[in-house]
Amino acid sequence: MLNTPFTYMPTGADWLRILPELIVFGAALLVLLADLFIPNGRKGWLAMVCLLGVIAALIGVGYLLSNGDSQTAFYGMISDDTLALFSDLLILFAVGIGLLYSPGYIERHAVTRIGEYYGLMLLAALGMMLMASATNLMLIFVGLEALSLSLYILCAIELTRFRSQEAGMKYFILSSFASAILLYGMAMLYGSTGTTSLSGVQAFFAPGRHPFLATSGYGPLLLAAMGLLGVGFCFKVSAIPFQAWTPDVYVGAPTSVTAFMSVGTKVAAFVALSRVFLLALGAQSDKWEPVFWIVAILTMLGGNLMAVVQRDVKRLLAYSSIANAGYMLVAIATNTQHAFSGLLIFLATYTVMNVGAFGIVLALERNDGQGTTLDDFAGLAKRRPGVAAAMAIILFALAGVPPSAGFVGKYYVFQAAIVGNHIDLAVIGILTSVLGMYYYLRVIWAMYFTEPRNVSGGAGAIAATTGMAGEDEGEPEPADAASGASVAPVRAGTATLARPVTSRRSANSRTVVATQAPAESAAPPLTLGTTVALTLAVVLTVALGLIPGPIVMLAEQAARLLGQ
Amino acid sequence: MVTLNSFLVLGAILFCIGLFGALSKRNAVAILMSIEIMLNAVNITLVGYSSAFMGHTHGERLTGQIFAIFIITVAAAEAAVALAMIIAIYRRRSTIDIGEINLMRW
Amino acid sequence: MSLDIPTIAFYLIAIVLVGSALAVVLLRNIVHSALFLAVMFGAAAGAYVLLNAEFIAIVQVLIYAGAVTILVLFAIMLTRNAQSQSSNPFAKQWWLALIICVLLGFGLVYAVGNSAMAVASAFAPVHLATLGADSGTVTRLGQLLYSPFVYSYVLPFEIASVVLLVAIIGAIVIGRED
Repeated sequence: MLNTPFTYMPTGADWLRILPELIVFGAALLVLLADLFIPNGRKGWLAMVCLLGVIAALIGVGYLLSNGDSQTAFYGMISDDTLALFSDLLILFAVGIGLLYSPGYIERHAVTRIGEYYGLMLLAALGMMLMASATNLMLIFVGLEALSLSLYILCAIELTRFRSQEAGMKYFILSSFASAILLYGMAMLYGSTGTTSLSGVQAFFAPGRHPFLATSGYGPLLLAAMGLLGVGFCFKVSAIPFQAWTPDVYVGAPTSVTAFMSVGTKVAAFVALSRVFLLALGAQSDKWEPVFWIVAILTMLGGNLMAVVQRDVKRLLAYSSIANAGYMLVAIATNTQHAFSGLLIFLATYTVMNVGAFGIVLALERNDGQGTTLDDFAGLAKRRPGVAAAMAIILFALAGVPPSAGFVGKYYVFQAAIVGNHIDLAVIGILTSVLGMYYYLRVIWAMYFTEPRNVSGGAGAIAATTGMAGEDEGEPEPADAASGASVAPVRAGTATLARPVTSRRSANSRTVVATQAPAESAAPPLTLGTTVALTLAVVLTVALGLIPGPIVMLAEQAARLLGQ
Repeated sequence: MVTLNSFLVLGAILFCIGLFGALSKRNAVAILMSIEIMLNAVNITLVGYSSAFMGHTHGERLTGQIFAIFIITVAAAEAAVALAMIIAIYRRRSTIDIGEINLMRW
Repeated sequence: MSLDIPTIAFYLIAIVLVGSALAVVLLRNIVHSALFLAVMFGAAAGAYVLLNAEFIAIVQVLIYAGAVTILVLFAIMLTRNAQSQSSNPFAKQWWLALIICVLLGFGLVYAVGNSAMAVASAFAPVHLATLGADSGTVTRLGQLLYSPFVYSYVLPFEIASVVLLVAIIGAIVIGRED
C-alpha cells in the first residue's frame, strides 16, 4: 500500500459541494488584492465587492439546496447536507449585514486597515461555514481556528481604541485556551474510537458493532473525551460557567464585528456541537445529556439574571446572547430530532434579531464608543422615531412577544422540550424568558416613556442637550473609565482644551466635533448601508414571526440528518 | 516497559501543567507559553495513539500524526498573531499584565 | 523490567519534559521560562522520535523549538520592563487553579490509564524507535496530505493555508505602527 500510485484526485463534484465556501474565499482574496488598487477615499467599494461575493455565495447555497446531493466531499471531510447549507445561509446573512454596517462604522472610527478588515470579515465567515459543514474533527478544528484568528484580529483592529485591543487580547487568551481543551477532547475521542471522522465515530458506537461497549460500560477515557469536548464547546458558545469573555469582547469589539460574530460563532459552534454530540456521540446520549441539562439551566438563569442589572445596552445585549445560548442548550439537552429542528429555527430567528439589535447600538453609539447606556436611550422615540421603532420591534422580538420571530424560536424549542420529556427545562426557560422581558421592555420604556435626563451616567447627555462643544471628545481616559462618568459633567467644559492630543483618534473626534457641534444628538445620522441593513433585519424579524413556514420547513429538513 | 499508557500519562501531566500555568499566570506571554505546553501535550497524546493503532488500517493509523501537523501549524499562526497583539498593547499601555489590563468589569 | 536503551530514553525525556514544563510555569523570570520552553519543545521532539514519528519530530524542532521560541523571546524582549524583578507573576487565585489542575490531573491520568475502550492497545508495548525499523511514515504522510489512496486530508491542508494567510494579515494589521 505504501507504493500505491496517486489514484485520488478531487473531482469536480467535490469542489461543487463546497461552492459557497469557495466563492467566499475567492471574494476575500479579491478584496485583499483590490485594496491595493483602490485609493483611500474610495474604500467603500471594497464593501461592495464583499457584498457581491456574499450574494454570489448565497446563490451558490441556493443552487446546492435545489440541486445538491447531500454528500460528503473530500473523503468525508465536509458535507453539503441541508444542515450545512442552512447554517451557511445564516452565516452569510450575518456577514452580509455586518458588511452593510461596516462602511459607516469605519468612517466614524479609526479603522485604518480597511482592505484587511473586509478580507478578514469574509475569512471569518469562511471559517464559520467550514466549521458548520465539517464532518471530521480535524476540519472542525481548522475551521474553528480560521474563524477565531480572524475574529481576534477584527476585535483588535481599532488600533487607537484601547478597549478594542483589550477585547482582542481577552478573546485570544480565552479562546485559544478553550481550543486547547477542545483539542485534548478530540485527541481522546480519536484515541477511543480510532478515527476522527464523525461518521466513523458514529459507526464505532453503532449498536452491536463493538459488543464490549455494552458489557464493560465505558471507559473513563470516553467520559474524559466528552467532558473536554463539552467544556471546549461551552467556551465557544459562551455557556455559563465559561461565559466570562463574552461581555467584554462583545462590548470592546467594533460594533459591526460584534453584530456579525455574536451570531456567526454561535451558529458555527452550535452546529458543530450538534454534529459531534447529537450525531456522532448520539449513542452515548445518556452520558452527556445530564451535563447539558445542568449547563442549560445555569446559562438561562445566569444570563438573564446578569442582564437584568446592566445599564449599558450593548452590554445588556451581550448578556442576552448568553441567555439565548441557554435556550439553545435546552434543545441540545432535549436531544430529539424535533428539538434539533427547534434549535435551528431558534438560531435563524436569533440571527435576524441580534444583528438588528447590535445595528441599533451601532447607529446610536458615539464615536468614542459611549452613548449606549439606558439614559442615552431615554426619550429616543422623540429624537429619532425611526430608530426607536426599529429597536422596539427587535426588543419585543428578543423578549419573545408573539407574533415575532423570537416567539417562534422559543415556541419551537420549548415545545420540543415538553414533547421530549424535559418539562423542567421548558418551565425554567419560560420563567427566565419572562424575566428577560423585564430588561428588554425596560429599554423600550426608556425610549418611549422617559425624558432625556440632564445628569447622565454616560458622560455625555448633558453636553449633548446644551450643545457644548467638546462633549464628544469627553471620553474619559481609558484608565478612569469607571470613575470618569461621575465627574464628566464637571469637567466636560474645561477638559477639552487642557487635554493634549495624544492620539489620532482624539484628533479625529475633534474635527468631528468641530463640524457637528450644534447637532442635538451626538450620534451621526445613519448611512445608507446601515439603513438598508436595519430595514432588512427588522422586516425579517417581523416576517419570520408572521410566516415562519419556509424556515421551519428548511430546519426540519436539515434536522432529518438526526433521524437517519 | 514503555507502553502507550506511558505516553498518555505523560501527555496528561503536561496538559495539567500547562492548564495550571494558563489559569494562574498574569503575564500574557506566560499564558501563551502555557497554552503552547497544553498543545504539545495534545500532540504527544495524538502521536502516541497513532503509533498504537499500528494494527489499524493504513489511513487511520496516521490520522493522529496528521492532526498533530495541523495543530503545530495553527499554533505557530496563533503565536504570531498573539505576539503582534501583545506588542501592540504594550506600545499603548506599557504593560502586558492581564490583571492590569482591565478596563472592563468581569 | 528490561532497561533497554529506548526505555531509558523515554524516562529521560519524560523527566526533562515535565521538569522543563514545570520550570516554564514556576520560574519568576520570564526569560528563563521562555528558555525552558525551548527545552520542553526539544524534549517533545525526542518523544516523537521514540514514537516513530520522525516527521513530526523534525517539524517540532523547526517550528516550535525554532520559530515559536524566537517569537516568544522577541515578544518578551520588546515588552520588558527593565526594573521589574519578577516578570512572571502569579495571579491571586493561583491556589484555586492548582486545586483544579491537580484534581483534573488525577482524573485525566485515571482516564487515560483505565479505559475499557483502548484497553486492547493501551497496554501493548509501543514500538519504540529502533534504527532502521519501519521508518517510512514521511512518505505516507505526504501521500495522505496530498492525494492518497483511501483517505485524504487535502481539504484541511488547504484550509490550514487560509489560517496562515489570516495570521500573516493579522500580524501586519495589528503589529505595524503607523
